[in-house]
Amino acid sequence: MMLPELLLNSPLFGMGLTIIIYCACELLVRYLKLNIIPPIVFACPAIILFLLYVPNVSYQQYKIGADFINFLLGPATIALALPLYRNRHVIKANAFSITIGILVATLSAIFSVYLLGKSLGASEAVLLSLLPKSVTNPIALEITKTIGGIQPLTAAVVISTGMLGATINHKLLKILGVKNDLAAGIAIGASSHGIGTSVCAHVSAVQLATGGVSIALTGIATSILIPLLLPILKNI
Amino acid sequence: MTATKLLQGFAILLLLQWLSTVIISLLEIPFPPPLLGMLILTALLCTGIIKENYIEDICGALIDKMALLFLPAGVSMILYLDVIKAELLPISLTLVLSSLVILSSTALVLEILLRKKEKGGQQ
Repeated sequence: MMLPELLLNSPLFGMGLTIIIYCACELLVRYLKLNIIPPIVFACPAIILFLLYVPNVSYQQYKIGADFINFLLGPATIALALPLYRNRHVIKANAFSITIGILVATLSAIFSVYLLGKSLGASEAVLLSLLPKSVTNPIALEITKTIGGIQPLTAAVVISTGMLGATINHKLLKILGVKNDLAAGIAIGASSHGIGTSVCAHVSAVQLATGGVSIALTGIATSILIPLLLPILKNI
Repeated sequence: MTATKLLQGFAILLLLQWLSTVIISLLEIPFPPPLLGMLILTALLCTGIIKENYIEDICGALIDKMALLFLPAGVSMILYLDVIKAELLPISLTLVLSSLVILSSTALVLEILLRKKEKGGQQ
């Protein structure tokens, strides 16, 4: 199959491929009743395989149109203000617990990633790129830049973390016996940022709102704590 | 949901992102502009300057399909398949295990904390 240059060099290609494959995966998930698995888990490898194996197609051509969709992440992040506003009373009433939760999440993220990665033999550059893996992509990329990791590798692990979280978070919380929506939302936002939290939209409004708060707060806490803790970690 | 309301809501979100991008670049701090935009919009909603119904349609649509918006960033890992392949085991194990640690520790600490608080409130 050879696709014409006219298609490949236009934004139509990347934008079309992203939306068409995503919708197809959404239908597939619904048809096969796999509604516990988010469509992005199928759509992401499907697009990568398409770009790798369809002749004469390059990632650079995909990016022309895909950038438009990527751009919408900005407005979508701002949109998280709505669930935040709608649940402001829950958040205000639990400000102390939320602060403790964010600190536990941020510290356990930094220490678990560093110690696990190091003991499993990851190289220094990979280790640094993995450190901010649980925070939202724009913040994670800033952190990686500051501490000297590989930015696109960070992007890849951040997305993978999100997809893993979107798939297993609610199942794991059920096994652990966590019933409180606030506890679930904070934990999900802190461990798997926007992708994990996007699943909460279909579960509970409180989870979605606290997930949004958690994304923002863990992002801020992580970007402050990683540079401070890195000298200590390197001495362990 | 009307198309006009959807478009006006989108205009508000873009204006806020524009504003926060200008603020961040003036302050020269490493902070993602959309996150500042989120905080500004929350403040505007709380003070009633922006009414909920101006933006609820566009926010609902963007949040509902947020996973789609992450897709291009996920596909960009195609550029680093070599690095990922070379250290696949440490990368994937760290990713999976630490995700389990973060989720369980945070959720359990909060669950216990909130349960205590509830009991304390009842007494």
